[in-house]
Amino acid sequence: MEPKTSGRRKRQDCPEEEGDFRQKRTAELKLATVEKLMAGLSFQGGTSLKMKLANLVHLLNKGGLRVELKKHIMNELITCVGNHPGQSSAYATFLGLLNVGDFEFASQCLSFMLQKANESMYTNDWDRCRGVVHFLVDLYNCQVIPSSSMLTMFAVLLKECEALMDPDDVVVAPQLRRDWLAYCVLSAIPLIGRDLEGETAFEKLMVSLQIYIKKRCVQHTTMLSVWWDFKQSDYLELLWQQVDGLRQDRWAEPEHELIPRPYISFDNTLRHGQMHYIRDFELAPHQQGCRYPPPRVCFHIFFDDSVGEILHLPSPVRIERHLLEAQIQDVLHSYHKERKICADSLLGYAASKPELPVYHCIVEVILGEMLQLPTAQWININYGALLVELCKRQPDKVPQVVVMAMDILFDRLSSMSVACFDRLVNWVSYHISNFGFICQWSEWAESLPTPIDPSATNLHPKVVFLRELIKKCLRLSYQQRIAEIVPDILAGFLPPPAVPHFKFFDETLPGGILSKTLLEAMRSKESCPEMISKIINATTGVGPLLKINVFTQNCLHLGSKSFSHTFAILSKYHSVFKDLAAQDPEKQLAILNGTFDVWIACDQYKFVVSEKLVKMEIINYNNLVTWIFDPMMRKELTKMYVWELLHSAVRHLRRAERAVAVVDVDDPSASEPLVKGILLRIFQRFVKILSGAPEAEKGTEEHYWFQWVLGRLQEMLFIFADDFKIISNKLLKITEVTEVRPEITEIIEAFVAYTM
Amino acid sequence: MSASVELSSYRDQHFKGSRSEQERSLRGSCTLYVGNLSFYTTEEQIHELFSRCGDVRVIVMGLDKYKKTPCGFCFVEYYVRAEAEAAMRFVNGTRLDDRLIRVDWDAGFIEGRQYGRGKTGGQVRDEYRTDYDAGRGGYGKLLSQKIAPNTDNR
Repeated sequence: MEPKTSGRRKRQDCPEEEGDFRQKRTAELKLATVEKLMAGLSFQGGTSLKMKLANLVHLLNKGGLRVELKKHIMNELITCVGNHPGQSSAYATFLGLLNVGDFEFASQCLSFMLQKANESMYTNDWDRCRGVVHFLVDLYNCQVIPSSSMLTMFAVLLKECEALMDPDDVVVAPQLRRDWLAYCVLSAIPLIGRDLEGETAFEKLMVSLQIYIKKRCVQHTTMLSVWWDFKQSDYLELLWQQVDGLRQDRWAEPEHELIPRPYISFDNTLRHGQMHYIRDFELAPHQQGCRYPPPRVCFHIFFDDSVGEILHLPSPVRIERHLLEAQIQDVLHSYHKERKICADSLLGYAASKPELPVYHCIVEVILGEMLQLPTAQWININYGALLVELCKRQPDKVPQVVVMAMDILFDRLSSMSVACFDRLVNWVSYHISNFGFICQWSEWAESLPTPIDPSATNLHPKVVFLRELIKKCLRLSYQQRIAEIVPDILAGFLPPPAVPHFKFFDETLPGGILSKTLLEAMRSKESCPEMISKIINATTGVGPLLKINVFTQNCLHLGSKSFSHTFAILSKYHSVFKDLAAQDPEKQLAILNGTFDVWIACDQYKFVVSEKLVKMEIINYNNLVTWIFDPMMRKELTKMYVWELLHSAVRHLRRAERAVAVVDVDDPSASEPLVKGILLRIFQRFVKILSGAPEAEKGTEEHYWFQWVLGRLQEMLFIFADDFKIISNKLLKITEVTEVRPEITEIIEAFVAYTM
Repeated sequence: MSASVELSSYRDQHFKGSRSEQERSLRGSCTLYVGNLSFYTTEEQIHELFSRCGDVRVIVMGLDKYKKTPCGFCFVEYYVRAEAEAAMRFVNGTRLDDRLIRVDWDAGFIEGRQYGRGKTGGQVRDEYRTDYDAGRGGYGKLLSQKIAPNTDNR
């Protein structure tokens, strides 16, 4: 509202400027309109694309607007093409239509786009570059560039992939770079395959691609698979299969307009445009430190039989499946931060393809991204919030698909990677908390091994999942609510109420008298750290560790009303804690012991209070690690909260260290020695505790324990991959020197190979 | 494209400073106001939900000025802006204790702001409500005084 008022005032003050202002304002308005309309070309839904294009081009051809806004149009063009690689055909058609009336304009746009493609290679913005490549390919379809130009561009892109075939050639480019180059070309082929079939250069290109796909290494698929009994296909290998299948079908056009070809409706106009020749498409050379898109595997949980009888879901080896997924991924990547816009766009896309089970694909793609290994791209709740939004907007379509997906994931828990476990628990708990905690509780319970054994020693993946899920639901809700929702058959999974336990109510216990004195003193109005220290120090007959335990328990008991109360009392007596346990590992562990004594029944308090103690530097990081891997904690390692605590502590350390560190630009590995130190320590503890575990038969508690903790080691490597990468030699050395079980070595070696 | 992290139209009338100063501090803030909470929602629940967007530095529960009991709002502060933005994007408008909660930027907590500003001690919105809201003490304060004067001795 404000700019309007100030504008009016300005005009009143200086009438002679009124004309200027109005002109400026009109120009701004025009620009905003054009930008909005251009951005709208990539938005799924609303007016038909044909209409949008016709309107926009009509507007720009009117009254010299095209020339006036040339620079802005070019900038908006690269923004749109870069941000929406999947919508390049709309923008190519747009430029094709402008080309008809103004060859020079199109020529300038083209040079600009090529220059931007080149720049984006230097900045490692590979998605943007792929967008431009697809844009150029679609310009061929729009009769703006000839096939020779396009084939030359493909040849440039594939040159480094071909180098692999010549044994005398020294290959310098890493596989990730060549993968991207191959992907860039391969994913464009469905757009033009039919036209080019038969041309020699095209035949050669397909052979090069085939050889490259065959020769490249796909070792990473094992490590990146969500389930260990089901190897997911490498994305590039699968795409080759899909494209090859399309070729064998003689490039039969995929149904339901899965390849957007808006230019077809403008064919009569487009044929009047003049052709442009691209001569200067160049690759930026590979350089040390370049980052490329990481390898991926394909995620499929839905097959034709999962979608009912009416709709037909293309099989994962069909190009149609890829096209659907690519469009959905494109929308996700463009709008993931704005859940409402994202949901609208996705549902708009689904509505445009009523003959296909698009909702299934949407849910599958979102979950695939969420469970992607080594780590998801965005925070867990990003995916969760988006799914909730989709469910709310399309309540008779999406929720049942989500339920089905949950069922499938639950069903396959026994072979799911531990690195996905927390993400699944967090997502399901968040999702159902938005829908009254309703989910397939009874069905899930019935699928548990019978008789259902809810005891803590049962470490079957499904059992652990339900136990942790219920705990998470409790954290988002409250005991009575969850107790009412969870069916009787699962009643054994409900933990006891999360109340504090203060054992020194019993004054006859060792330390009981001290506790009573302390409690009275701490409750008095005059209480202060000095006074408390004095009492503790003056007490005789109570050992130093017991004193710490008593003091810790007193604090937590007094602050047990809420986190804030706890934090307040910890701050108040910060100096007392520091005095009692400064730098002494044994004494620091006594504080953690006291904490766990009080909050034995509440994982959330154990986590949050311990985390706070570390943040307040009452407990140091090394001692926290020692504590977590202490034999006494062995059974706790199969619970989620321990890992929440450890991950959070490392992240906090890293944040603190980054805030103070002067980063050495030439050698990033020189910074953050503390983080690396702590990660190395964690790694050593993992190896030690895992190596000490007895070999056990499948299905036994001991066997499950080993699998859980081994998975947690892998998860740690995944989450802090960038840091571990720098110390990977040390990791390998540790596994060589110590006698370790082959399962551990396997995980380390796969990780090191992946990060190289 | 960044609609969900934009400032809303609400401005705290008690802010000490000019409107532009206020907007500047809102744009750089790591603190959020969370509203439409049930009176029964605990700090622990809020911590769990908001931790999913990042590392929570502090939560200050909104209290009834006289009764010192939760009155349906709180402040959540993160260590970094980006994590507060995530909460604006993904938590705003989702459910906690079966209520759609509201998340908005706040210029930063100042002592005293944890108390309700209504005449009766709670939030102003609970004075004039005419609907029945079990999670927020039943009918609005003014209305409930008319319906059943002084039966609530809690």
